[in-house]
Amino acid sequence: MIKSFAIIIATITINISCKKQQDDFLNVKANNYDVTPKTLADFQALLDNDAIMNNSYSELGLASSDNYYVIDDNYPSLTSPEKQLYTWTSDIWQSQESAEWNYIYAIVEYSNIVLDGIANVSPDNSIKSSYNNIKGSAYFFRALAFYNLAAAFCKPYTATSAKTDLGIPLRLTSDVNAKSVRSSVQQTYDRIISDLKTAIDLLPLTPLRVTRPSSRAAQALLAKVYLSMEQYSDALQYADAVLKAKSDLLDYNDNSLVTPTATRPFPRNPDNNSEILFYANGWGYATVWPLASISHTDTTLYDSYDINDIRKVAFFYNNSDGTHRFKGTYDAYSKNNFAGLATDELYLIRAECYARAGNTSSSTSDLNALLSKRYTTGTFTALSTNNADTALHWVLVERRKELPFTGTCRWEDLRRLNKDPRFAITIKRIIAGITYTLEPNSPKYILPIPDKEIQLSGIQQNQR
Amino acid sequence: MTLLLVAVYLHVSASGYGQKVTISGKDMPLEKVFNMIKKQTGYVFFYDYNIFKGAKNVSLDIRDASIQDVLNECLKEQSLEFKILDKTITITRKINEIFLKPSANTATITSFIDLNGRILSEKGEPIPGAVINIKGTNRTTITDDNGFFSLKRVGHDAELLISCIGFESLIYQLNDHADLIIKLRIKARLLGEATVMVSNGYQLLPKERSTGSFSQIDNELYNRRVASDVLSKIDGLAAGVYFTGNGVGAYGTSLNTSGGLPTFNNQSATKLGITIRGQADVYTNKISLDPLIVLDNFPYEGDINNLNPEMIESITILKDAGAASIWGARAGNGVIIITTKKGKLNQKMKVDFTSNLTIGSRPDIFSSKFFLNAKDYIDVEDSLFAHSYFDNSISNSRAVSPVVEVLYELANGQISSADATAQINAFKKMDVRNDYKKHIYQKLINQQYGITLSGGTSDLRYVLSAGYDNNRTNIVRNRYERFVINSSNTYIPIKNLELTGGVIYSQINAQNNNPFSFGGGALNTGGVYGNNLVPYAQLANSSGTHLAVIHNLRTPFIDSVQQLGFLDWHFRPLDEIALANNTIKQNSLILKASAKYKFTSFLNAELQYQSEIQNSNNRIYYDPNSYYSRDLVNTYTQYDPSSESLTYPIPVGGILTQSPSQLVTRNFRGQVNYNQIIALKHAIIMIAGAEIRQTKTTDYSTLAYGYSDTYGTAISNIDYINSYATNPLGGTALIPSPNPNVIITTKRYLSYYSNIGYTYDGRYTFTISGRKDGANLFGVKINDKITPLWSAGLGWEASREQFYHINWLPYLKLRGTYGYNGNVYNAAAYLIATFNTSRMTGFPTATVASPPNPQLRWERMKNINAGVDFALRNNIVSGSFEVYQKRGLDLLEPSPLAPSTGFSFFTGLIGNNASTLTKGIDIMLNSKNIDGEFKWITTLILSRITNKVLKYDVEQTSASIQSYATALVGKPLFSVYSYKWAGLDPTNGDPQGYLNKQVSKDYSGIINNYKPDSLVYSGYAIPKVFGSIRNTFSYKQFSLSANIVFKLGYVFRRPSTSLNYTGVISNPISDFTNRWQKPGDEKTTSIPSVAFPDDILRNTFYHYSEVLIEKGDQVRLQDISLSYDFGKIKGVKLPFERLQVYTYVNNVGLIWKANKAGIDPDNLNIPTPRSISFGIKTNF
Repeated sequence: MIKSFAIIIATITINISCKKQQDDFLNVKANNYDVTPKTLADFQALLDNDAIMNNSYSELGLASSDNYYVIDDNYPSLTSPEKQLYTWTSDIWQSQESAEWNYIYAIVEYSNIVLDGIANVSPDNSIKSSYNNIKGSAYFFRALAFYNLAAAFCKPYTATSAKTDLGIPLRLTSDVNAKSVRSSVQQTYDRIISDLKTAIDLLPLTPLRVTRPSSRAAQALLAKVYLSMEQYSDALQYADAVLKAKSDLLDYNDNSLVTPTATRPFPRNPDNNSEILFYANGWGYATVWPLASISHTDTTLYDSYDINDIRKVAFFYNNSDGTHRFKGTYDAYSKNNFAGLATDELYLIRAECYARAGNTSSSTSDLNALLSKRYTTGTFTALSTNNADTALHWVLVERRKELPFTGTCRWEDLRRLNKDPRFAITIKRIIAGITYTLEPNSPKYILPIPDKEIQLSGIQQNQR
Repeated sequence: MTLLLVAVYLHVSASGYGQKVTISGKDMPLEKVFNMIKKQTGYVFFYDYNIFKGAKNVSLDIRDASIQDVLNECLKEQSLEFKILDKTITITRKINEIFLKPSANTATITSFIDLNGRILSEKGEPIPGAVINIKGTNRTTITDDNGFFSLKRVGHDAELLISCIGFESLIYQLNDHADLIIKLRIKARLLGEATVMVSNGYQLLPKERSTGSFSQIDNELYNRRVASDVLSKIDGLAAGVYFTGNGVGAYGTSLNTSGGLPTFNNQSATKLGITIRGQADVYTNKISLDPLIVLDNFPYEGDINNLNPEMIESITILKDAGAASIWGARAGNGVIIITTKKGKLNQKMKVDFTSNLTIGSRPDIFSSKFFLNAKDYIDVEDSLFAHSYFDNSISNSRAVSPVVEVLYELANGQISSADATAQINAFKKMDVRNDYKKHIYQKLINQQYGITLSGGTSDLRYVLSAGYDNNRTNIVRNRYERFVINSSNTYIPIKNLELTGGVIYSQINAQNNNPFSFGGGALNTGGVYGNNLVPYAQLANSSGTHLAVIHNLRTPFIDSVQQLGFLDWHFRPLDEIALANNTIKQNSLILKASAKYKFTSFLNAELQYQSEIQNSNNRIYYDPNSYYSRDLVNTYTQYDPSSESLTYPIPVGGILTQSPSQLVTRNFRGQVNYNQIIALKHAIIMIAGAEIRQTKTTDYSTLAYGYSDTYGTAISNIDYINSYATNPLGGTALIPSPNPNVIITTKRYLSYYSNIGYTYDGRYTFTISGRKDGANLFGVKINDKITPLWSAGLGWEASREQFYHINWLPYLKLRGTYGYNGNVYNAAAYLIATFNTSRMTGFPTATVASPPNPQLRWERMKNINAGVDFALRNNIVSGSFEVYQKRGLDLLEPSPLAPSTGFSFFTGLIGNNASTLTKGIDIMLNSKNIDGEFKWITTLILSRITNKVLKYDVEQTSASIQSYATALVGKPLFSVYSYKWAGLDPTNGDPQGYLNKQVSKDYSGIINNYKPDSLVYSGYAIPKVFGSIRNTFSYKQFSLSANIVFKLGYVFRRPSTSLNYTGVISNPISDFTNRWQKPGDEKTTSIPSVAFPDDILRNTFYHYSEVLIEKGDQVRLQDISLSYDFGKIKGVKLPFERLQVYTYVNNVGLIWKANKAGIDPDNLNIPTPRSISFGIKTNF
């Protein structure tokens, strides 16, 4: 009896004295591939996760745009959101989730995880450059994600009402317990701009690979943001800053780089496409995928290309029945629509800002620089005008032709330009004899927030 | 307690033994001589090692002498003497004469003797744990594991009081006998208990001294059912244990699965399909919902199918905290202890042999509801064709059905209308089910053999068993083969030390060559693209030639590229079955070693080690002629129109994939056992110990193109970097590349435990059990990794009280327990990212797997259990009645996060927030209705389980009712909700529901209206009451038993046709035929009209509406067993001890069901076929 108690007591003593061994035994990782991000390498790996960070940007605007049409026979085979987006119904989601809302907020969360995590790392000199790159990248990605969301789910930026218009939930912490609330449009754009300005200072001028953000990419995005806010002088300043440093344009006549007749005309590796500043792709709907058989290119758009314009061949695939489908994505890698940043867009931004500022010669000079690389060598006649309106008109026509399936440029332009009666247009669809129309400045230019978000965080829904 | 006759054999003369011994040698120690005698005669020696002290060595040269002569020779100059009794030779010191004669001086002086004895059962098997008390004194001892005991200096005429639980006590007058073999008679059974000792995996407990809830399935009951796996054999035999195996019956029990190959090592949360006392846990994918399986002493992590049912002696199910909390953090779902057969000391070799043959009928595919006749199906295709639904497929070379092909040709004027009609009419007469029956299904034939050898000598016990199973399944070309060998040996090299070593080796060889599954989704009809078959498909023609069916691509396209030199791209299902080569090999090895040292008769310590290694590999070889290989090669084939040449980025040839996985578990345990009875009144049984364990799994996979099975060579220079244009035209893709990653998971546990039981006077028992667990699964702070769990219990055997005088109820025991079990969450509390490599950039990437939650801790289950055990006089009725309550605390729930947190696509935040309350009753009754030459025994097992969710933070969304595991506070954890039904719209057959108390067809509004005016609670998704009634009749050597099982108090969703034409062709269901078609139909049908174009919400509303809810209540005759026992024939000497022949019929059929829809709730698809087994059991 005494012996047994002695043994029990001995066991307990061993328990207590082996605390260290016990802790060591239990401190083994459960899965070999798991890590709790702590080091700069961990954070860089999070940001290098191109499947999350460079992927699946919203195509909601594209699917709602006037780039394409669907024939009656194909219409029934569209998925529910494809149909709703095509016909601009009020209830896009029909209780389903929005992949783009989810994916883009995942980018926001990754950025916040990195920003919160890196706050615990002291940036001594040996790691200063990678530290800054990571921090700047996180700010850049967050800004890009917010901008992408704002272009779909908020009213277009209008200085007079921006302080009261509903913005997106601006999530600035990785803490998932923090409640989501809607900001104002003003706060949304202020945040995008300040994130980008921070990023410009931290990021390297050129990236190691174009999947990583750079200072120039951040400036390019800022130019784009200011353009959408109709703050043209700021847009000009940042577009100009980039183009002064990097003015490359891809010559569509150069067959070593571009094969216009191929189903994939542009270089597969985005690093080999000299125009690309930052690589990202959009993903979502069979109605707007490159080469989607269900999607027919809008005939007005297709007809707007000159016969000598290489884009007419490089951008469009000829269907056997004489219709066309889009194929000219700069994302020749994953064959989705390109949703990144490239110099062609910056030329157009700068040209538009020059035109709006009355600087017609600079405007047409930018256009000529771009178009001379787009037309078959020897067929392009340089444009020239003293009329600012003509210059602006030319720029807008070329924007339409150069960037039809780049990001949601077309949708953003419709939202922005419809505010100007000179450029306002009404879009129509006809399905089985029924006509659907989208009037300029309609509330239907603002998409509803997905039902699940409304149910779980209780934020305010958009009215449309 | 009554005294009954005891057989006591003493001093049996050794003469007459014919055993002859030959020994020669010089100066041999006595022990050596004894061993030689033992070897030659099989007689065993019984002595105390101390006797060799001072013993002289002997020199012998004896031939063919009797044992007696040899022993006489050996012991003639020693102070030792011997006795021979029942092949046991007892060596003792010669009793000192002085003590035998009463001293003249002191008449009162008693002479003393040193006792050596052994307590055996009537069958001659040793009884461990019997208590020997010298009457009138406090001196008590307990027999050891082999039934031996010794007492020093006992009065020569003392009386011994010998008692042991489960045996009749007796008083034995010593009368100078120093060496005793005493046989005890087994007490008439109470409670239907077959064994009085129950195992909890750490110790053997006398059941009478336990307070917890144990269900024990003894060997006889265990062997009643015929099954090739261990767990199926206990289905329906224990109260509170529910087998979920046969589909729960919620809508969506996999209608049209992709027809992929069945997966073997299912890692889902409920791989065993068993719940003990209901599931109290909200479902998350990181928590095991299975009971803990313990094999002898240690948790068993491998595939349960590795175990041979023949090597199992008994199974014990630990249900409440009192029984299970010794298993701490892993006992939350209950514990199943599997005990293997063991040998016994001093038992001659016993050989058991069993063999059986099971024949199962072909699955009855014609009873499946998941089928639509060809005529109706073709009408649907016709109508969709008219809506241009197939145009897109046709223009993209995607497969369309033969009927659509005909319609297309007709529309293009390629054939005449008369031809088209004739062809379509021919299709309408076909039925693919005939081909299924003929070519896919077959009769099941299972063969099972087992042999067990067991026995022991005085210092060794052994068991060796081997089992072989060879199963031909219901599906052509699928087989399962298993060989298991099990050996366990215990040696006693020196006194008080026991060494045990054991090995279990199993080998499984399974072939899954037939991609057509059986069960849910068996009949893969429907669908425009992909793998599905149309109801009028033909697999072979009348002469047996295998035919091609539509599959992925249109026939005209296949023919056109074949002319260019592409490989044949047709899909012939029966060829695929013939060519398939999909094998799963699994080897498992369990090694056990333990050492036990007895310090005293009541205190011992043991060290145990067990390692388990399971290797399995799924090898799939796609023959060059298999569709898989041809399709992949063709898809990537590059055709150059200018040179008309073909190049093959994926080489023409076979493809081999392998996915090896390894599981290695190591356990180490140190434990102290204390077991003593003090002064006859105080019985203490106590253990304390510590254990560590580690489980490590390693998984990876390989892929080889251009593989030749003959030479074992593959093509290595495959271009995984560039993408290729794929056929048919349009896309480009990279060649699917092998996944180079090796996935390793490591789980570590560290535990300290103790279990103490104290019984006073056999009447009052108090038990307490505690355990502290640690695991490497919880992060944050190390302190949180260790969690204490405990239980306490009280038992009162009222019938032993002096004042107890209820004659008709001679046995009555009350018991109750209270305590906690735990459950493990297999993921960490902190933010976890998973590393990989970017395919695009080659950079290392990290993917966030779960958001952080620093507060995460173990789940706890608070258990309260109260039970009554009773037996009427003569055991006419005996049984137990238990009520319990299980409260799940700190349950982990996955909270869906607002998508703006970025985590909607992940597992969501996991927190310890939910709680549930389960209440239940377990009843077990045994009734001897007729007892005589003809016997009739009825056993009733009845369980009632209700539960409700007390706390659940997850916001329910509009879609959540569609899952049957909806957790709504105040409602059962598994409940079925449905949309209120307002009948069909008489004008167009639309389904109608309620919105804001008005009849409505606003389906979006109804589905998003999470309020009672649209929604009703329809009932439990899992039976509230279930159990079985088993009747056993026996007459002479015949025994007949039948088990009726019942499940009551639950509902299920009846499968019904899609309300969209496009849904009908991809998922045809027979009740389409009865849909609303014209006004007036609403009087006879509740199936709405079918629509085009698709209306998803209308369809969703209908499928989750009240009108499809059916009652699941049912009673079925599960099985019948009939046996004839040759061993019982009186007066006939047979070459075997026992021979039983039996026949067993399983899945006999449904007796009663509550639903009026004619649906067998257990078999929404194809019913489990009936099977019949024939077998023998013998031992000699």
